Amino acid sequence: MIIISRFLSIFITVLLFENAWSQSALPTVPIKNINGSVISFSSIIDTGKTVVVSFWATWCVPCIDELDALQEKFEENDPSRIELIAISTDEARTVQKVKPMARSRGWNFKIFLDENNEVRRAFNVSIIPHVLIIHKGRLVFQKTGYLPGDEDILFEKINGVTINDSP
Amino acid sequence: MKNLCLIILLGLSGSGWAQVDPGRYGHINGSFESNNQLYVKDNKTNAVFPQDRIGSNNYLKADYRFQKFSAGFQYEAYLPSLQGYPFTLNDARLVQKYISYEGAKLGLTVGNFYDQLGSGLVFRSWENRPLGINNSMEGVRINVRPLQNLDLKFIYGKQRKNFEKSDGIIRAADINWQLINPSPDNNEKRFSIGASLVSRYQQYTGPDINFKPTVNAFSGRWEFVSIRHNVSAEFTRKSKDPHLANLQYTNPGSALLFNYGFLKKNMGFNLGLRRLQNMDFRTDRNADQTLSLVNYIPALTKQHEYYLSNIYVYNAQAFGETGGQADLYFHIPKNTKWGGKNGMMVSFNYSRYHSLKIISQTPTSLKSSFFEAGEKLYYSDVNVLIKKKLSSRWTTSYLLQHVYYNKSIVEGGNYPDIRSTIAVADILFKYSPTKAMRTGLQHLFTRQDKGNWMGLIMEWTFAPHFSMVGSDMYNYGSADVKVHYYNGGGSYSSGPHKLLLSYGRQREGLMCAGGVCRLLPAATGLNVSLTSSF
Repeated sequence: MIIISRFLSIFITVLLFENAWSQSALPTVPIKNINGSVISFSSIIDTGKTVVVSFWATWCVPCIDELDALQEKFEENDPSRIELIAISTDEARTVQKVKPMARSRGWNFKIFLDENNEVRRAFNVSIIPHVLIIHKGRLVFQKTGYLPGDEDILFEKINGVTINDSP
Repeated sequence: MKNLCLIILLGLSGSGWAQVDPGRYGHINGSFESNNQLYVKDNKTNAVFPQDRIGSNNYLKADYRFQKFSAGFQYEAYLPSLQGYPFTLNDARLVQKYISYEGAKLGLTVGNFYDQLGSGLVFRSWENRPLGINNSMEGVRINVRPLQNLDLKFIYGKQRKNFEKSDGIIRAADINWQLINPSPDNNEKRFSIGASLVSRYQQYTGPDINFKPTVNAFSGRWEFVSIRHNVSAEFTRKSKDPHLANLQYTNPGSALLFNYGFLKKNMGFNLGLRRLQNMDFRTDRNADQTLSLVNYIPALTKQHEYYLSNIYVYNAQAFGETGGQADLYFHIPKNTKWGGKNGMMVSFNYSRYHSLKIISQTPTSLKSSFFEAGEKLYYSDVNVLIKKKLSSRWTTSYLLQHVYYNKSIVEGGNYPDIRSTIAVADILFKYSPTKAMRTGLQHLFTRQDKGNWMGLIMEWTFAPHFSMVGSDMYNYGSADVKVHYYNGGGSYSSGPHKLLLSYGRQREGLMCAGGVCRLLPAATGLNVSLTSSF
């Protein structure tokens, strides 16, 4: 009983503070581009656009389905306004499959490698697929899992956060 | 009650500050994961009924960030632990905490951290909650970037071992130098070299005066990347390291990993080759199973997504193996004979692993040929996966796979080798913009082990919140008891929060990653999982 109350106390504390401070600042962790060069995560989202970040892996079928669906949606939208980037969480077992799989599927968005899951941990992503919407350097929305049709709802969110920027 | 009031007061005051100037005092984010099972008696699956009917594994992680500084903790509660996890985990503790600075030229972490050197052949600290692995380092890590294309890393500390720390001390240094393409914007060509040195010290108190308590491992690597090709290699050497998990073998360890990739429009190919000898490396000479691992040696095989493809799964043999895998992915464009109206995706994979070719052997050492494979086949898997979108509503996937599985080597014991063929057909029907139904039929043919299996899965999804699933894996070919492993459940998602509820049977089996396995016991019952990020 003491264990449970201790656990609950810490959980409630974090949740209360979370309401005050969460969902904004982005972690300054290093990440590799698809060719293996190490860059800062903040540099890849500093594009002046609304950035949709998808955490995925080559063995995760819903992740691949989601990226296929998002690619189709992005092709219909203005590329100067929004950008899609995919962060592969493949470990040493499967990381070599990322490039050939992406090339064969004709994905034309940027892909980054998070081999030891540093970025995934920094964003506290428990399960994949997991999508973030980053607008003006701030995390404004995130969702976990993929169900067919989620891409339409995600674009409603994107339009919601970018509508105020329209001239 | 006093504590609760204090917590609420602190939280409210936090909200107050945030309203004045959001972000001025830093930011908190985190995650919560809770996996719970209510076990019920089930004589059909030989499930061992636990002492406590409830198992509950819970993880709470939180990070605070302020400019270039961050700090955080992980709290874990096993109330008690789910079946298959060590009994020593039945407690709740603050298990990890850290403080970190990440600047452009210098990074410093004090406390718990995860890291990987090279591909992990000499060092990787990581977490895998389903497998019960968390060998995070507790100590100091320094990253130095004196030049844009040069990275240096230094690590000192002890590993986590369940709720305690492992006996041995790890000291490590790593260098990574990009000789071509120091600019991250120019992605056309890159050539880099790297090296890692890992030293483990564990006090020795035995009678052998010549026993060395320190084990050193060295790794050298290079990688060349161009638009179409990428080639990389890593070689590792480990000094004499007799311990429990390698049966006290005294040979030095070695590993060679080679990779070649080729890309073309609509096509990608990859070939990976690896040779391992005596590469089990731990911080504690008396540790086995999933404890105190220093390096990471995954099975280089295809990671399948279908239930019946995951019955006979290979686990890398750190003691000695040689082999590799090849992957070919290609897309047949639309409006062609084979591609039809919407195109077709095809992926082909072949993996094969053999024993080492032994030249001579004693009870505690062996000599083997470096470039030849032994006659004993450990595992092979040849498979082809086709995915075809018939229309905007219908998508179909088909898998055909043949597996050779040396059960005696992978699981230990004395069993006949297993040859199995698996066929899968998976159909997705999207009957409205947000509603879909998936039906999957699977069959595994084998004359060995437990005989044939067939499987059926049906899933209904209602984006963005609900999904329901029902499945059954029926082992009808078993010579003794024919068992239905049925499962039914549903999930609710809202933003970064997901609740899963299911009831059914879980079959006994090995769950492997990084060269180690955990036996998942057979179980029947109600599962409730909650994951949340904030």
